[in-house]
Amino acid sequence: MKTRRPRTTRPPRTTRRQSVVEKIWARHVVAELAGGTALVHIDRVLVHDRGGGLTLRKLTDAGRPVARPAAVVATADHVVDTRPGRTGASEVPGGEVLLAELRAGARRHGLRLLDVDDPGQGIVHVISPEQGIALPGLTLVCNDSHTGTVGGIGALAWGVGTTELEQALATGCLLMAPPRPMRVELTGIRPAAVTAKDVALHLAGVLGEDGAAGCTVEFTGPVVTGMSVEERLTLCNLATELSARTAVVAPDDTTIEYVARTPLAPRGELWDAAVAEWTALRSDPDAEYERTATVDCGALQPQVTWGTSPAQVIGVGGRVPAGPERALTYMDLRPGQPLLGLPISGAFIGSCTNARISDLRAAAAVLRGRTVAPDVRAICVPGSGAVRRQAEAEGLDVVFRAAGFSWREAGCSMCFHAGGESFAGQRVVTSTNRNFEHRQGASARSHLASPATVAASAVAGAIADPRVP
Amino acid sequence: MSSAIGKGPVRSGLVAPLLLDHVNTDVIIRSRDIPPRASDDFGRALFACWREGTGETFVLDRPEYRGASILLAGANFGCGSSREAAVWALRDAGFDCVVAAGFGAIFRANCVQNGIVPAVLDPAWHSELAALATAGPVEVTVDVERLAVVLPDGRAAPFPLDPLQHLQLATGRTAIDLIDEHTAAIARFVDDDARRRPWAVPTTSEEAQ
Repeated sequence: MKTRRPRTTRPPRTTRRQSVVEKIWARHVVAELAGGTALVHIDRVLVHDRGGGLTLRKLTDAGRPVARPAAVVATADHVVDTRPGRTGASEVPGGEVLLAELRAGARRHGLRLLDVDDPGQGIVHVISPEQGIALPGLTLVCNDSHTGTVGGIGALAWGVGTTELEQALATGCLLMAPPRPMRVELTGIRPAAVTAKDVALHLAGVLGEDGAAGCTVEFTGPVVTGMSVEERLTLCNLATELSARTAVVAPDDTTIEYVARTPLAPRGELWDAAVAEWTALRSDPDAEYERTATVDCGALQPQVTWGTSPAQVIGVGGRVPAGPERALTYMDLRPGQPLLGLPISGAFIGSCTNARISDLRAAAAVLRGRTVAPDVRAICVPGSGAVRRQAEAEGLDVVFRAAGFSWREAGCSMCFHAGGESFAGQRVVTSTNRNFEHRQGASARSHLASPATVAASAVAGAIADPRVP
Repeated sequence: MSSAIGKGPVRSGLVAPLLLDHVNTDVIIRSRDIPPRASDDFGRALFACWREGTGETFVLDRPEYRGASILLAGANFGCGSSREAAVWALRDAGFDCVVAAGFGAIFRANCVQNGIVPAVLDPAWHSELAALATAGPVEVTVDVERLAVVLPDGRAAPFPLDPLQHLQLATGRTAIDLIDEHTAAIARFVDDDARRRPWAVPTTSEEAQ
């Protein structure tokens, strides 16, 4: 394998040992400014329909081109319809404008657009690792808070607002303060029925809504190294709910095997060079972290949220704690009440958290040969067109439909209510990431859980333990 | 793109206290209320889900806090979704500063990009200002140059800003203008990087096949 010496080398900023986050960061510093701020090169820019088109419009109006169009991928996921036979229209108020601007902006700036009729379309954080748009060691931004999801493959990815998105599009760079590394070590032997979602929700419960505020979380420990890439994506996705700036799992053999199968992965000599670099992307043993936390997963149960934040969570067999009155009132719950058996009228499987093929397989395993309880509205929205096609090839769509689930086209769908469809007024068990007030519809009461728990609850018509056959 | 943002380094105004922790951007502006164009008025939708049908009970609707331009929030304000519309809603409703015990990181960055000062006070100063502002209408001055919230009695509660945010809020310069000072360095980096990390150069689906 050929290796090239960099033409210009930069002296290391400090002599201390580095975490993986600092190593990726250091690779991307174009210039250091006063006070530690850096101008950072952004390898990929992902753009979605909720605000992405308006950002492209601003560039157009300013007469400013996109700096590196080949580094940009746009997709329509947030406001698109997910019903079968969709046309590419939107039910969301203003959605038609958002989609029209995205399409016009992508055309004008020469960007690859994964529109609803493209086989590559899907939720932005599902498609970017799945297609090899995101790769280990790359920096990436997107106008979405869950962009850190792709830290699961070892990319350093940040969610940004649309003004910073515009800066990244126009210059290929962002001005940023250096990352503040935090190590979260997950220890113990994770019980078989406990998913990455359960681990992540438990973590939110232990560390709190701002338990990683402003930090870049590196997940380590035997539970993490034993996770599949899809599980790591789920774990990193929910670091956002601890107010982490982003999250990452250092790439390992599991990552490299996953990336090798993606359509846009480097090939040939480029692949060898990439693997050599990725193999070096791990934290030095004595790397320093601003904060550390260790959480044991050995005794975990499947988790279900009871409140209006992902940190308000208990084991499925637990009782509602004496939490904030506001959350209890909104959720219509009392302290001491068990969650098991609480009647529901909605079940949702989807989102950038839990709509990959392994999630759908887990839910289908629970649903096979069973049916959703009467009066439960159950919906499954695959995270991408590729996930949907794979699920259909495995016959999972038949299982979902036979059980009484609606089987959808890919998109963000009812993870949030942007207008159009909603769970207004309903109690819902959902595989999504936010149980905020009114998130899934006016007065909707959302209980976050894993896809298996959602499936078991849909069948029971009440919050149920997926471990109970 | 070279227009200045924000209202200059010294801002005085009435403080509206919203002393809840972890107020997320979905609550600040609901997804379905976000207007489709940047030129629209976002202020009307500010905290709509907490204000609708509540008459004058929500803090921003109470007569004594009308015209407030400084929001006093709790911990982790603006967590959740990256929607910049949350900042635009505050801006269009007349706020140019948010003083809090802490912020969601993206919201905080979005504030700076739009010339709104996100000031984090330490717990003692935060409690003191909270007590003052809930007791009745109070005016304070947020001074970006001094990095302090100046209370009515003249005492200065310090707050931190990283140097870039400080520069942007003090001068009104946009980040894109600041980045454009480094055009040559960026071009050099991109050139070197293509040699250093040829595998990282984006491939299109056609090339991959």
